[in-house]
Amino acid sequence: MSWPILAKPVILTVGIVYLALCLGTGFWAMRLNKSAHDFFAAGKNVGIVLLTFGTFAALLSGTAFIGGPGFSYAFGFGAMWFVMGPTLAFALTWFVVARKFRKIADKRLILSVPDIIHARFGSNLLRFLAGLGIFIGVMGFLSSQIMATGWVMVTILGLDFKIALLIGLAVVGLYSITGGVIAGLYTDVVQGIAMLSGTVVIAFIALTKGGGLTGLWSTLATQDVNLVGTFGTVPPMLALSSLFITVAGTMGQPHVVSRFFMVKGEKTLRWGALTSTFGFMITTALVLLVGPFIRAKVILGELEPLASPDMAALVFLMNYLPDVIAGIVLAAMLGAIMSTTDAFLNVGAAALVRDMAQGVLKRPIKDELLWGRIATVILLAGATLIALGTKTLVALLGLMGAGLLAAVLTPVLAFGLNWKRATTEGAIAAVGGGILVVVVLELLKYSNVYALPGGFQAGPVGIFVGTILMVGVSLLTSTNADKNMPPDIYEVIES
Amino acid sequence: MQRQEAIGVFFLADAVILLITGLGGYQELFVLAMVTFAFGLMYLGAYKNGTIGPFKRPFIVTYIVILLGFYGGFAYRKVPDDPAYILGFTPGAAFIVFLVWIFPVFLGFTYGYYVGHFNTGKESIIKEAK
Repeated sequence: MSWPILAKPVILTVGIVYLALCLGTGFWAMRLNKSAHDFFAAGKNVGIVLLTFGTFAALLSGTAFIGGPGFSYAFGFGAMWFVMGPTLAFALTWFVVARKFRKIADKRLILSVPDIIHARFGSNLLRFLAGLGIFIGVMGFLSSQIMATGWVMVTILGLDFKIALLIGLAVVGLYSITGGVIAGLYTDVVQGIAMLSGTVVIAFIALTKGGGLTGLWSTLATQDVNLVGTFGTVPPMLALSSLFITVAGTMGQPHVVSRFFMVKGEKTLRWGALTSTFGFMITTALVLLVGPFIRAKVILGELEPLASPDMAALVFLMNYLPDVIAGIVLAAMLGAIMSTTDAFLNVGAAALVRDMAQGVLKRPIKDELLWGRIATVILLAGATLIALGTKTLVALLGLMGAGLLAAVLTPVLAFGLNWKRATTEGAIAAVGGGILVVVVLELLKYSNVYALPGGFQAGPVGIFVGTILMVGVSLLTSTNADKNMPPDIYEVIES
Repeated sequence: MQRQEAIGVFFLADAVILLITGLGGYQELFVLAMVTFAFGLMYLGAYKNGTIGPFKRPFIVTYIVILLGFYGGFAYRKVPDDPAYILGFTPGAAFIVFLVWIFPVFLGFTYGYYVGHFNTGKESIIKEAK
């Protein structure tokens, strides 16, 4: 066990203060959680600030913050294809689902994304399947966040990976269990501010010490000119499929779109796409600068090659930033990871307690608040076991989870809320088909039996198949789908 | 064919093309189908009372600019040993950064500027004004 942190007590202090702040927010928010409605949907009281930070901070995650610089260290400019999607995705998501979510939440009791699907199609089987898909996807994504938490905590505390990881999880688990989504949203603001300010400092230092953007990329080009090209060293179809999942798949990310039914009203949504896009774009600078900066230093012989590309961001902090700033940025990184983790814990708990349970029992279970907290513990424990048992890169693990969620929810939400001809049969086929395609393809890949050609990802294939099933089965099953729709939902789709 | 059926057939065809071009590695066609899919969904989301109103022009402009960005990136994908840099990026990367990554921010602005008046209806506007 090493204790390098003893040489950097400032980082330890900032890290502990930050963790204490998160815990304090959780316990403060506990007072505000009087019902499952508060725990899962923040009492429909979210304003533009909470919406902005709650959306981009939740989407940014450890996948982008740790995995992004790791990707650009390994694959050069190709890493951009994994993180640039949200500029288009936020606008797309807002146009397609944002207002409709909020309008339905005005007419029905909505605490989870499958609640929306149930309101539209009225099928308990569909609600169960959507909950199941979310649960599986959440486990994959949570595992990636937990691995990222471990890496950051190792740097802050200098402890063994597993011990550091458990301490980080104890904090995020405690404030998620006690504070629910309200705690998550308020900590998102703290975390989002830390992320934005941290990124600005990092960008300044990377550019001034790395010789500007041209200086950084031209150093990389001396080792391998492909690193600075359109796709970097990423296979083009892997790049394109990753972009597709981040563009079309964002509306299928329950931790992002669930914010829409928590807002105060439609007016709150108006500038959210723009503000969230700016927040995400600023923090994306990390991917463009940190990975190439560290790779350039390795090429110039100033650093040893990294044991894992995922260490790029942390090596930058520990070697090139003053301790106080490094501590704040580390807190920001931890914030990025924690904000996604708590959002996913909340969504996963809702999938278990509300959607899967109601799908089977056909009625709400008693004391959803208590069961929501118990489900949060179960999710955290399960995802930790997966994280400790896998050797997959943080970014890839996150993409697998995001791919499944997108495949399950994107077709059913996009067409269900905007296409009057969509039928329940089509929706069941789309959700079931999406789960099946992604899970089977990922299992085949993981067991080295079969991988899609050109590095193409399973998630987009799930969306294509889900769309074909959603539309194809709907066209075949009923010509009166719009007449069978509940009037209040029909009104929303028409709006 | 009714409008609703036509929408279904359009997306069905696009999803089949995405599947074939994605798995077949036809990058140029895949990109065209991908951008068309995204803007098709955006059209569905913005559609109200038989029109997409003020969103028509921003959608068309952004659709074209994004496709230009992709095809520019593809055209310059081969990097010479001593590459030129445009604002810090090689030409292929610059097309992607400026036209595919940064330009779509315009859509977020468009949404905020127009959606309140076009999509929330008269009642909401009156309520909002009060």
